[in-house]
Amino acid sequence: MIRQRATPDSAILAGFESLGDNCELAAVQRLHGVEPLDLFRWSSTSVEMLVDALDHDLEGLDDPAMLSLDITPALPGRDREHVLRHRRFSNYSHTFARADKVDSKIILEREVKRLTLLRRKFLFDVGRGRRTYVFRTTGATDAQADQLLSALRRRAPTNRLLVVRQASAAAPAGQVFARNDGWLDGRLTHLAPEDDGFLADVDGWRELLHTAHTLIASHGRPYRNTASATDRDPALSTSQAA
Amino acid sequence: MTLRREVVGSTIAIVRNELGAPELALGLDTEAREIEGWDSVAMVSVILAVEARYGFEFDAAEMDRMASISDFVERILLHLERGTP
Repeated sequence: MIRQRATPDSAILAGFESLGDNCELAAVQRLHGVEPLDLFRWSSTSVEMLVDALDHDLEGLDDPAMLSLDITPALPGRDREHVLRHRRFSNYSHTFARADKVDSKIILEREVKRLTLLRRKFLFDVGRGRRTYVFRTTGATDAQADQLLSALRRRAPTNRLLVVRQASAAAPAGQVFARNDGWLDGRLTHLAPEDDGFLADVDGWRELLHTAHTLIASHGRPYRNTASATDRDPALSTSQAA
Repeated sequence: MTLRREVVGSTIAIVRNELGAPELALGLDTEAREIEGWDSVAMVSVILAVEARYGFEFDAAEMDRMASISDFVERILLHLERGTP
């Protein structure tokens, strides 16, 4: 375990809640001593799964009949870990329990209780509409980002969404754009591998979240700019360097 | 023993138990992030153990505000004084 130390960035990083699709943001938060009680922080997710979960009050997420444990493969330098499989939503979560040290029955009982508590908290938070949710993705389209934001805003119209994807020539790293359809479009030089969020571009994430935080603070919420027909409104774009 | 002392003692005992560290040096002012081995998994375990010990549930906003042993103690005392389930 890592002894955690607060940094000047901790408060800003704590203001964002991960929705997946892997544990990359969670890893960046942990490296800054930020340990929020966020349901999907250590989970693999997809837009389809999240929309389904949001529209159905996350029913079944903590149902023991829908949960089982797998063990990660033996890899050099890595402990084998119990990984929680959610059959209802077809996704996985870290448990951080070593397979050779902790009995699976104990872990499964713990995970059911943990999910019950985190589900309760997630539904409360998403219903209040005060969070900025972050979805990191290599494959989600703009249309899927729209779908995810819509699902979040069906819970509360003031929920915000930052979608983090790999930079491109048209969308450079470090910039965050407020899309006309209401979500924030952030780009990183590179994304971590799907199976190891700790290989994240930590500096890039920190800068991106600072930029998003600045954008949110300066424009209030929710993001909705219907004045322009263009895909992106330059007036609402910003970057750390700007 | 006063209620406060009992709550302080039981909270510290719960944290030690959930972290599997019976000798861990803890005091009222100990911040969660200063504790070796502390993470969100540990935090959830401690919250669940406190809820089971005292028979109430923290609300989501309370969970976000608990950053130290003292925070836990004050919230527990508040619930006990209110008698909230």
